[in-house]
Amino acid sequence: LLGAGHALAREFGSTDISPVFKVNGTRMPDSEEYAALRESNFADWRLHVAGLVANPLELSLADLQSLPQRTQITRHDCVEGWSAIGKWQGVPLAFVLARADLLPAARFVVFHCADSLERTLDGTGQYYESVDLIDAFHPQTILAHSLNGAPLSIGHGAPLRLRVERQLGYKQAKYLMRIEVTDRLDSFGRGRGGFWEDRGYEWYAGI
Amino acid sequence: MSGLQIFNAHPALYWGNAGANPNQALFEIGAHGAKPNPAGFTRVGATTFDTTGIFGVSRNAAGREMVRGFPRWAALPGWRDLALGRRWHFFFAWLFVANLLLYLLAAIASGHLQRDLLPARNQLRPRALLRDIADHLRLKLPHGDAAQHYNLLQKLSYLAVVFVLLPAMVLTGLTMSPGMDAVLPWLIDIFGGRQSARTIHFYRPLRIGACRHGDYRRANKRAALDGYRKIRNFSGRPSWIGFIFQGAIFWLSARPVLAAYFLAAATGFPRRRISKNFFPRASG
Repeated sequence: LLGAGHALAREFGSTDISPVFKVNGTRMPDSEEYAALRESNFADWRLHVAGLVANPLELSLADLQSLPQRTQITRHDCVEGWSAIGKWQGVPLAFVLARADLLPAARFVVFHCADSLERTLDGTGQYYESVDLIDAFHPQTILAHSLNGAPLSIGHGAPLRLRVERQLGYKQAKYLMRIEVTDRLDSFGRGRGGFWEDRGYEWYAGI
Repeated sequence: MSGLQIFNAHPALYWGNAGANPNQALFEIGAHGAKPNPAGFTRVGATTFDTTGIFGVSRNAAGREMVRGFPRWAALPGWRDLALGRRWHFFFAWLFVANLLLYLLAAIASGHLQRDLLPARNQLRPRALLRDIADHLRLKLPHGDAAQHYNLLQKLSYLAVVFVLLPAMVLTGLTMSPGMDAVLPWLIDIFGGRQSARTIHFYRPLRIGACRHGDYRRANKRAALDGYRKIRNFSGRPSWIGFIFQGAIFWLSARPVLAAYFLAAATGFPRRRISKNFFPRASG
């Protein structure tokens, strides 16, 4: 679509950074597992990368910080209508996926999060998101551990969140725990590719 | 309207690239006060109005007072559902764009644009323009043959709506998309950033509404004239509402056009007629 595969989202200067970056969605995941990780300042946290990969990974924050980094000052657009500009730092998802070595059947990357935004009995209130491989390998798609030069606050998704800069805010999954490479989305949540997608929003959130 | 449903998800407008926190807003609808009896307010710049019952706080279908921007009778759907509101909005956006393109193509192909809407050279002379404005202010309506053509002010209103306001509504809408902003980064710069574009996108239909009201009376009269060309010395009754709105259009939307006009007049206008070059005929 109009060369959308390669176009970059605008990057701003440091003077454009919003003085306050609004926190939205989950402010504090309420699981005991997350509380324990937070207690240890995420020293025990590991990002699991699994699914249709030849080489499943388990990465600590230090592992992620030792990979090549990207810093980008971008505008975050919420589906509600507001925007905020922030400086994100993290590892391009492409590097992590290259390490994990995708199998030929891979089509989507699913992000499992620590927070549940709605209380349900069947677990479909758990936050998750997914992107296709075009966005997964886009150079501005990063797993961010810092906002404006400081480690992510709890409200902004500590210890790690996704940044998919050409899509709306609900795509920017916070509190990442597990990345799963898959060939279909209908087996996750209620089958539409994300928490908000399951509740009526578009899976492609570039509009 | 689906746009008001979307607005209600974050009922504040800003200027610039970013904007999220109410203290920076140019325009805001909100509510304050304790839960059982919240008060709705509408803030424009530094001035706050109590708008309980309509904006900020209004009743839901069950008659209970709810905190929300625009009331349920103005939003589509009436209850709070941003996902559904967006679907309605995009559906009508496609219809709107198709309709606009069709109209523009038809107006050019049929010669309506060149014949009826582009100002004639003699209409653009400063004296003629001043006379038009003076006649308009005195509510002196054209008679006879003169009433069978649009006068300059009418032409400028139409051109402003068709070529400035309506396209700007579509283009500001496109800039709401972060995907489109990556593909067409210059587009958002025209409007001064995403939040400016959102403010313009919100404000634009209001302007067009004003134009439509102003021109509605004239368009009706026009249609009547077209139908009854034999009636000479037609004299319509002056419309004060149309007059006020007409004035509003010129102040709001034709400012750049008028500024360009006076600049052109000051620099030796009208030696050359620009309009001829706008739509060169295939034959020549």
